[in-house]
Parts: sequence; structure tokens; C-alpha cells
Amino acid sequence: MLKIENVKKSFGLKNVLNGINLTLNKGEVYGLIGANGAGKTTLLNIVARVLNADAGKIFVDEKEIKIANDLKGLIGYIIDIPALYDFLTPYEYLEFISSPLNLSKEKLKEKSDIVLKDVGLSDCGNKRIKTFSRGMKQRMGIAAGLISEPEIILMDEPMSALDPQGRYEVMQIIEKLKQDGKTIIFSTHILGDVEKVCDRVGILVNGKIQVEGNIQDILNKYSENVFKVYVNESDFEKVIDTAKKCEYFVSATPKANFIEIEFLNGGKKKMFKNLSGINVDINGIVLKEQTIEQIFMNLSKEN
Amino acid sequence: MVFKACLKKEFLEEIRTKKFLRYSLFACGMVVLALIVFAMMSLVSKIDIEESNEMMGAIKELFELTYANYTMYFCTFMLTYFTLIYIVMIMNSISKEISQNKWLLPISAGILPENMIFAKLIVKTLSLVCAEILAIILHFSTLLIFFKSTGGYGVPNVLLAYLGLILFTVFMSVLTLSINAISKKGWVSALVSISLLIVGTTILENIVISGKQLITFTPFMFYEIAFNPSVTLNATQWLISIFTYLIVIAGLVVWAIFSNKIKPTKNEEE
Repeated sequence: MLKIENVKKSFGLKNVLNGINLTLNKGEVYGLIGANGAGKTTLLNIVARVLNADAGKIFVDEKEIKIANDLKGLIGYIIDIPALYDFLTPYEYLEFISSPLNLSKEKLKEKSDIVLKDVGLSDCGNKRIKTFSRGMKQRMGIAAGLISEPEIILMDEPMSALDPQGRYEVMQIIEKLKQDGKTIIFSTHILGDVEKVCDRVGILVNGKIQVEGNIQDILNKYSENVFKVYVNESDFEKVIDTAKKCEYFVSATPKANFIEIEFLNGGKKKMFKNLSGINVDINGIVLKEQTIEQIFMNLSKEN
Repeated sequence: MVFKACLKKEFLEEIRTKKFLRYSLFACGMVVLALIVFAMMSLVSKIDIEESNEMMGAIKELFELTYANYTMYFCTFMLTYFTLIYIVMIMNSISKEISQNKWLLPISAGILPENMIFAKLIVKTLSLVCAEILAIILHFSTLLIFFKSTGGYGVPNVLLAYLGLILFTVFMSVLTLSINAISKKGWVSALVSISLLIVGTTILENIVISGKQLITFTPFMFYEIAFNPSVTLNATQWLISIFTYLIVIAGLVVWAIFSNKIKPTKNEEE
């Protein structure tokens, strides 16, 4: 559906994107995670063809997109704080934004009514946007991104500027879009949102997608590297010594009633075997669960 | 369709954000200013001046209630104060929208920046011209009501001055907006336009070639006509100045549009 091939972008001497490759299948919701300034907005601006990349290609349904005009309704772009022409009414703004689609008056009215209803603004179609609250403006921005009924939707931190009520409303809209089978790239630094709606995530660090995959796979993969070994305090030293003998050992941190042992990828079985063979009363060995947030933080620190 | 939508958006902006109203008030304010100056100075004409007092005699002549004097003051105010005001009002028109990310959604929807720039150039300029026409109507009405003596100016001279005013406004508006679209900085467009208005015109007025002022061969000829509609111009001056006027305007518009054109990404292997 959407293919991003080796996209690079720098601003002056700063390399913001260092060769991004990404393929999205139809109906997939992809979470793009990154700290502020990681390049999420730059990548989405390039995909929306609002910004030129220094290198790389964007394909939608196998067709290369060279300028914004090639998109014409293929992609809907929803941004964090939509800068709208607030002297217009929602109907007028939607008419302006959908002008490249050459819709008839009747069709335009019909589509406008549908998207305004979807975002909960059907009663405000003839009010000036300047009278809207922040949440309403955000929803208006979503309506503008959806008027062309795009198959691909780019969402750049769509909830970052909203209060809990606004966030809930926008989340409902995203879930509806997901049910409708839309392909969505959802950029955010609020990781709770990602876990709720995304099928797959990519963690963008230093201009590259460092980790990518299904959320559960990532959690499993990164959770496997830390054991919590519950033993009596008197046996701590013995356990740590045993763990240190394992070739995959990274670190051992004593806690209140357990020791946290970190090991390298692929060392789970070996480490488990070593620990279970030790001559002490082990009350339990559990894999430490990590959240996407912790994985993201660790990756950010490493890089 | 896209360009029509851009034009509609611009028209609505001019009306609803009261920009057109403000231009009109400032433009009509210049008529009021000219009338106030005359009202005050007409007192001078009532003073019994001795024939020997040459300076006072000259002042009296300057403020005689004639078409010529009234039109001259109106045009002077329009060419200086009103021009300065609208330059300041429009100097950020394009760069502000870009910096506020207002173009992000339209461009991602497939509306080309060139359409938005061209529509803005047309509508803003038209808005200023319409405001100026309102002021001209007001000036002409007051001229016919309050002034009896022509002072050497016939109505054709007055109309020529109006034409000069309108065409100069078109030029300055296109210049300011285009420089703003090219530089993306309000202060640059204001600096260029105000420098040309104050310094450029003065320099061009003072350079004389074969007995003709250089300004009458440039796009600023309409500035000169508005100041002095009784100036005599030959066919060569008309042709060259109109030609340069059109070429400069067209050049500025094309430059403004192409400097904002989004070009396809060059791929590494290309």
C-alpha cells in the first residue's frame, strides 16, 4: 500500500533522517515512536510531499509519488495543531481543501456532512472555525484529512495538544478508521496511545528506525533479556556468582527480595539452566516485563 | 477549480478579517486628511496679505481652493502615507501563512503553492485597488462639491492622476507581496518596497537624460503622473514605461510563484 524507500533528509549539517525504509500493508496501523526532534514530523511531511527529501522514494500502490499533486486524495494528513483558516466555516474549509478532487456541489455537501458527523461537528458546519475550542479545531483538522476518503492516513501526534476528553474523542475516531480498514501511520511520543491502537510500531532514533515489529513481539523480545530471581538474601552472592559464569551475562542488580539479572539476546535458555541448577532455594524465576516506554527509553539512551 | 477555490478563500479573508474595511478606511482617511489641511489652510486665504509679502502670497496660492491643489494633496497623501500603511499591512501576508503551517494541509491535499500565491497576489492587489477607488470616488465627489476653480487642471488631468495612483498601487502591491513570497520574510519585503518608494523614486526623479526625467522611463512613471498629471510625456516615454511596468510585474509574479514551487525529490542514483 505504502512504501518508503531509503528516505534521507538533513537540515544544514544535521541529519534528521538517515535512510528510512518502511512498508505498510493495507489496513495496518503503524505507530511511529520517537522523542521530540527524532524526525517523525519530517518523515510524515515528506510522505505527504509537503517537504522534499534529499533522497529516497515514496510509493503508493506501486506508483511513485513525486509531488503533492500526485497524491490528490490518496493520503490524508492530520497534524497535531492544525493551522486552519479560521475565518472560514467547516463547510467552506472542506470545499477549499477538497478543490483538487473536482467534486460536484452535491457530492461535496454529502461528503462534508459525513466527515463532520464522523468527527462530531455536524452541528457546527456553518460556524466560523475561530469560534471553536482546541479540541474542535483538532477534530476539524481530522475532517479535513478525511474529506477525500483517503486509503492512507498520516497522523502526526494527533492527540498531543488535547485534554483527556479530547484525547478520548480522537482515539474513538482512530479506532473507527481502523475498523474501516484504513492504513494509518500514527506518530506520537505518548506511548500509551500506541499500545491501544497500533498493530506494528517502529522506534525512530537518530534518524533511523532502530526497532520495528508487532508490539507483543517487541515486548517479548526485549522482556526476555531480564530475569527476576527470587531467593533469600543470604543466597544473593551465590546466585550472582553463578550468573556471572554464564557467557551471556550482562549485569546483576540485587533488589529487596530478588536479583535482577540481565543477559544478552539468545542467552535465555543457558542462563535459565545455570540458575536452576544452582544449589540454593529459589522461590521463583520470572521474566521481567518491559513496557514499550521502557524499551524506547533504553534505546534512546543507548543511541 | 483549485485556483477558483483559492480566490474564494482569499476574498473571504479580505472581507471577514476586515482587511478590506481597514484599507478602505485608511484610503478614505487620506481624503479627509486632504480636506482638513484645506479647511485649516483656507484660513490663510482670508488673511489680508500685503502685496510686498511674497512668501505669504505663495502660501496663499498653494492653498487656493482649486482642483489642482486639492488633487495634488490627495495624491501626495495617497502615494506616501497610504502606500506606507498598506506596505506594512501586507508585508507578511504570504510568509506568515507559511510560518503558521497554514499551507501544510492544503499542500498535502494537492493544492499547489503557486495557486495560493497567485490568488493572494490578485485578491490583495484588487482589494487595495478597490479601497483606493472608494477613496477616489470620495475625493471626486468632494472635489465637485467644494471646489469651483480648476487651477489649471481639467477633469481629464484629475482622472489621469487617479489612473497613476491605481497603477502605482498595483505595482507596489505586487512588488511587496512577491518579495515576501520570495524571501519569506516580512521585513525584507517592507525594506525593499519602502526603499524604492522613498529613495528609489527620489533618485529617479533627479536623474535627467536629454531633458527627460529618468523616472518617466520606468515603472515608476505612474507615481510621477499621480504627482503631476500635467507632465507631458512623449510616445517613447509611454511605451518604455508601460513595457517595463508590465515586464517587472510579470517577472515578479513568475519569480514569486517559481520560488515556492515544490520540486520532485532528486534520487541518489539520478
